[in-house]
Amino acid sequence: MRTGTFSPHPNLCTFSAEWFSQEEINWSDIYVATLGLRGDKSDRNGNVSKIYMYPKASFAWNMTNEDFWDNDAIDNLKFRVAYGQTGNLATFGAKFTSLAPSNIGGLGGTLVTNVRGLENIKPERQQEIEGGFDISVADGLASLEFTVYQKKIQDMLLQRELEPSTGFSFESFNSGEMRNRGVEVSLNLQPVSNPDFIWNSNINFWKNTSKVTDLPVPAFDVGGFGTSLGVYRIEEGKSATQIVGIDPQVDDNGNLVTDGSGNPVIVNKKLGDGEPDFQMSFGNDFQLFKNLDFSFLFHWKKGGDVINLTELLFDLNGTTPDYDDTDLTFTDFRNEAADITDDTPNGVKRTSLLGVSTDQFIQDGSYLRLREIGLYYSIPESIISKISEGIRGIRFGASATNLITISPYRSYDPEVSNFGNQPIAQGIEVAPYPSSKQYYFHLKFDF
Amino acid sequence: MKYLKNNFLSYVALICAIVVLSTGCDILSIEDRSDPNNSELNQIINNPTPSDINTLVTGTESGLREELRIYHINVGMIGREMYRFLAAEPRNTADLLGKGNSQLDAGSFYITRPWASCYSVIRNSNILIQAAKTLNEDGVFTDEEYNGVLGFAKTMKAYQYLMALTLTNENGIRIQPEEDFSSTGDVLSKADSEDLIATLLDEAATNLDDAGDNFAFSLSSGFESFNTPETFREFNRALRARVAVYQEDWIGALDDYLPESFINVNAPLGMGVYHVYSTANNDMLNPVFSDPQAGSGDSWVAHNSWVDDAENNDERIDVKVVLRDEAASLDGLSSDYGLFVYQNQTAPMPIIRNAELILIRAEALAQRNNAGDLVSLPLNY
Repeated sequence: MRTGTFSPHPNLCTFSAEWFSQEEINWSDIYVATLGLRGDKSDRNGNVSKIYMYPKASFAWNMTNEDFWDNDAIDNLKFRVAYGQTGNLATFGAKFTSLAPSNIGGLGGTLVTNVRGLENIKPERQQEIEGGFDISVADGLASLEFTVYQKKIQDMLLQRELEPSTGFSFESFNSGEMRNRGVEVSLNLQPVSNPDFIWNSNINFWKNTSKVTDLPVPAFDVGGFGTSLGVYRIEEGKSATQIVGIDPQVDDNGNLVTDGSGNPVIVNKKLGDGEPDFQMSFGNDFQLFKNLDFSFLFHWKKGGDVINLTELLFDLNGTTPDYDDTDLTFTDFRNEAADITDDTPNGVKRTSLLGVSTDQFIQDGSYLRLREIGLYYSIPESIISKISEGIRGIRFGASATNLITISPYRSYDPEVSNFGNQPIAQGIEVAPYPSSKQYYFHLKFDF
Repeated sequence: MKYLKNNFLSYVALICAIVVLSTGCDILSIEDRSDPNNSELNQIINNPTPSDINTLVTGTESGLREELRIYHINVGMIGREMYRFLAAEPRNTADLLGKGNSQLDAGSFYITRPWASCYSVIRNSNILIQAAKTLNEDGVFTDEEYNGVLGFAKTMKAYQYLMALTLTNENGIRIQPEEDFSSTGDVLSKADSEDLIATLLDEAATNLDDAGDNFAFSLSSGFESFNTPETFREFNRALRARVAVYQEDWIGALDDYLPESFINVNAPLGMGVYHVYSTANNDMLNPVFSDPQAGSGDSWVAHNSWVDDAENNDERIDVKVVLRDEAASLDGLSSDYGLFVYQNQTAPMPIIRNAELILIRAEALAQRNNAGDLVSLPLNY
C-alpha cells in the first residue's frame, strides 16, 4: 500500500510504502498462534528504497479448553507469549543539513541551521518479548491478567547535543541500545452482584525500569534548562530518565572537597530519576437499586522525581509558603558549600544553594489523585412511561475530574511539565498551568 | 443493492490491480527528494550559483546578530555596567554575578547559546568559502571575485572567533575545520587563539588587496561606506587593531593597523560598521532595546555605580540612561536608571566604530609611553 500523508504545514509531505501479512492458526480454541511480517520504506529514511522488515509472532494456550480440564472453580486460564518488532521513523527532514532564511536590511540571506542532518538515518527498531497469563475464577467473581515484558530499542532516535564549535548544536542520534523491563497486573473483581447492588472493582499495577545498555557516543543531555537547573542525561549503563545536576564534590568520607582557595569544587552528579517506582489505579463502580450509579478512579504514582523550578521563582521573590520555616534540611556538605545551617530559613537555604547544587529542585513527584468521580441516577422506566411515550430513558448526575490530589510535592502539580509529554524529558516544572479540576453536570434523554 | 455495491467494489479492486501490474513496481518506489523546505547544503557546496554566494554572505552578516542579547547580558552584568532583571531567569543575577557561592556553569544558556551562535556563523562562512571555491574552479568566479569572498568570509570568521574568545578568555577557543562537518579542533590557549584570529585577519587583508574594485555580492546598509574591497579592508584593519591591543602589541596597533583602518579624529565618533535591524520578514529587532521604565521583573537597567562614577561633564549620562519613576529591584539588587542605549527597536548596533579606534590609540599610546606623556597628547575628542 502506498500512502502519502500531508500535515498542515506547507512542503511537509512524506511518502512511505508498507506491506503487511499475517497468518493465524487456531486449533479448537486451545492453541492459537499468529505469525506476521511487515515491511516498511519511507523517504524519511536515508536509504529510500530499503525495506525494513518487522516480524511478529504470538502463541496462546487456553488450558481450560483442554479435554482433561475438569476444575469448575476456574472459568478460564490462558498462558500467552508474544514477540514483535516495530519501527519508528525519524522526524521529517532529520536527514538533511540545511540552510534557512536569515535576512538583514531587506536582503535575503541563508544561514546554516543548528541541526546537522544524518544522511544514512534509519528507523529505530523496538523488539518486545512478553509473557503472561489470564485467569478468571468463580463465574467472573475475580479475573487477573499478569504480563511481564522486555522491550529493547535499537538504533535509538533522539536528538543529541554536539560540540557547538562544529557549527551545529544538535544532530539526530540514531544508534545505541536501550532496554525497558516491566510488569503489568490487572485485577478485576465483582465482590457483590445481586439485583439491588452490583460492585465492580478494577485494580491495575504497572512498573517499568529502563537502562541505556549501549551508547557509542559520550553522554548527552536531552532536556532541561542547563546542568545547574537539572537536565535529563542519556548515559551508558544508567537509567534513561536519570536527572543530572551540579553538586559539591565529596570525598570518600562524605566531606566537602575544596579547591586551593577554599571554594567548594562543583561537579555533575545524578541526583534523581523521573521514572516512578510503580503506579497503581483503583477504579470502582457501584450500582444500587438498578438506578443509582456511583463510580470513582484513584491513580497512585509512587516515586519519580520532578524538577521543581516553580519554587525557585517563588523563593527569589520571597513568597514561598514555607520561606521562613526551617524544617527543610540538606546534607552537611551542601550546607557547608552554600554557607547555610539547618536553622537558616527554607527559602534562604534554597536560594543559597542556587549555583552550588541542583538537589533542592529535584523533588519527589509522588501523588495520589482522584481522577474521576461520578454519581448518576436513571429515572425508572415505570415513571418515564407515565410522562411520555416518546422518551425511553432519562438520566442525570454530576461528575468531576482531578478533584483531590495528595502529594508531598511542593508546587502546583507534580504531573505537568513545561516540555509536554515527550519520551524522556518529562517532569520539568516552571510554573505551568496545573491540571484543571473539572466539574460536570449531566442530563440525558434517550428517545 | 448490497450485491451491486460489492460488485462495484470488486471492479475497483480489479482496476487497481491492473494499474499496479501494468506500471510494474514503480508505484511502490519512493523518490529520493532533497529538502523541500530549505536549501540543502550539498547542493550549495557542490553546485552553487553566484546568487547562492550572495545569500550566504547576507545570511552570514545576519547571523552575526543571532545571540547578541545574551552576549550583552553577559558582558554588561559581569562588567557591572548594567543589570538584566528577569524574574523568570534567576541565573542572570545568581550565576553571572557570583551571588553567594554560585559559580558559572559551562552547561547553561549564557555561555552555550552565544558560543554556538558564533560557531554557526563560522560554519556559514566556511560553507561560503567552499561554494566560492567551486565557482572559481568552474570558471564562474574570477580570481578577484573569489578573493573578495575570501576576504569577507575570513574577516567574519575572525570576528566571530574573537567574540567567542571574549566570552571564554583564558579558557580559549577551538578551530572549526573548514570542510569536515563532524569534528572540531583542540582547545587553544588564549595566546594561540589570538594568534589564530590575527592570522585570519591578515590573510583576509591580503585577499582584499587582490579583490579588485568591487565585491561580487552586496552587504547591508550597516556596511555603508565599507562595502568595497578597499573600504572593507579598513574595517578589517580596525578589527586587527582591536586584536593587537588584546595581544598587548601596542606598537603594531599604532604603527601597522590603526593607520590602515578608518580612524579619523575629525570624523564623527559613531562612524563605523553596524548591525542593522528591521521589521521585515525573517529579519531581527534590536535585542537590547527595551522600555527604560519597564517593570522590575523584566527590565534592563544601568548599574547605579556607572552613573555615580561618571564625571561632571560626561554627556553619556543624558543619553544612555533614563532616571526611572520607580527604582527597579530584583534578587536584592536595585537600580534607579533604565538602560536607554538604543532608543528604538530598529536602532543599529555597532560592530566597531571610530570612537573605539580613537580609544585604542589612546590606550596604545598610554601603554607605549609613560602615563605622564599623555597630558601632551591631543585627546580632546
